[in-house]
Amino acid sequence: MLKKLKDICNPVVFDEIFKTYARDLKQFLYFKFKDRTKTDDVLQDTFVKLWTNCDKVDCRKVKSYLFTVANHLFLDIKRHEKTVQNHENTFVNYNQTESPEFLLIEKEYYEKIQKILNRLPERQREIFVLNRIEKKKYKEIAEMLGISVKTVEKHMHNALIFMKEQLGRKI
Amino acid sequence: MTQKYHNTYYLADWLAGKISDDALKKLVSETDFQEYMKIREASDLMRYFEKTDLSIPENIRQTYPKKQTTKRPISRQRLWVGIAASLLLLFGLYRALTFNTDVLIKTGVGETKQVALLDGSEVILNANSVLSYSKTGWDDLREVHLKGEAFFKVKKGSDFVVKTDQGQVKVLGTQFDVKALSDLFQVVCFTGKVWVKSNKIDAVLTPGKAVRQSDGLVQHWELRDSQPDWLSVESSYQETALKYVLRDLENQYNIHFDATGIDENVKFTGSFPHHNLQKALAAVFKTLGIKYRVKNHQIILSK
Repeated sequence: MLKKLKDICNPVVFDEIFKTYARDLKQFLYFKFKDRTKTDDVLQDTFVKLWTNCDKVDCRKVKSYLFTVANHLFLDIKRHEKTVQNHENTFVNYNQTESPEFLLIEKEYYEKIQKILNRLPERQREIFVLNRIEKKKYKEIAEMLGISVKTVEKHMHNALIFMKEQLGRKI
Repeated sequence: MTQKYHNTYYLADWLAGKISDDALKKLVSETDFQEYMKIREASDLMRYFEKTDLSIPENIRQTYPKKQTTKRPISRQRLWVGIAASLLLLFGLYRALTFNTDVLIKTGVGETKQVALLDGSEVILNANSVLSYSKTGWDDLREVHLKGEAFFKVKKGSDFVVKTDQGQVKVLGTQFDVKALSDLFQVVCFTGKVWVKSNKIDAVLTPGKAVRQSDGLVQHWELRDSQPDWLSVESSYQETALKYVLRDLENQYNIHFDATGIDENVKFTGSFPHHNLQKALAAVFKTLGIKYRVKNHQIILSK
């Protein structure tokens, strides 16, 4: 069992590594790119690289390996984008327009929201997570928890107000 | 006159998409509207980060570096053996599907086993544990029985139920650890959500949350690990009665304790390694100030 645990070439171990680090790595990449497609691509490429080098990577150092590879891939893409942009700029006036509703969530803000979410009253948090993260409909949540849909709506409503008010405060 | 909106919980309606962003804009101040939009976006991001059904695509899997098989021509004899084996397999499959459909998996002392269930869910069974389930009706009801401890990685799908003598755990698709001993029932949730129900507990656990029931006492706590510690190289405890630690040591090392000379309910916080008995004993008993000596396969504990 132990020997197997250290062998990254074992698909089960590889899966485990993926499940352990994919989320942190994804988050790390997202706040660098601010773009989901690029994040997904690089996340994929990073794990593909680990897979092809599975016999060369030490399991104990797999975390730093993953983040280093991801960071290199990120820098490569940025370098490439810069070159392309410089090139384009010499021909056209590059006009970057963003839709007014486009919201950029910064890492700090995201972490703040996470903290606030953890401070929500238990029931509100539970329902908020079920709805926003697990994508359960109000009706499904009501059935799961044995409460009325109205109560679920009330908790969701109050959760949002609570979070908004907490955001207004200095933390 | 401005449009009136009647539902008191308009924010819930807005999140569910029942009213538009513009409609919400009319109901709240501009700054509040911006905050709500950002909260929604941030929670979408959370879902995006949480999504665990990511996996490496099949084409890359197939390049499994150590398993490159070479094709060999099939000889006539091999062909017949192959056909015979297939027939046997078909017969076996037929039997499995129609007759005996109960599956029982056991682990011995110091042994762990990894089991794949019919739907692709995975179970890693810790030492000295028994897992059983019935193949019939698996599609409608995913239900397993557990004695001992196991870590579950459940594929998304219909309800998945782990039954134990003391209570049950119900989930949709997640990773969690269940420990069901005769006098201890303990569940730790690692991802997703699980619903734990026993005569004393009725709780929904979110990632990092854990609950246990022993001697009629219910205790909730939180942890940071992404998988149970027994899957790695040591077991660790927080404020756990010594008797459970002793039992884990016995299961891990195939040893037996004589604990008549000490108080087994003293609480232990700390860990012991899985592959060095001397260090493990020292780690547990030195911290508790308990003396131990070995005598005919028994370890006698004293103050």
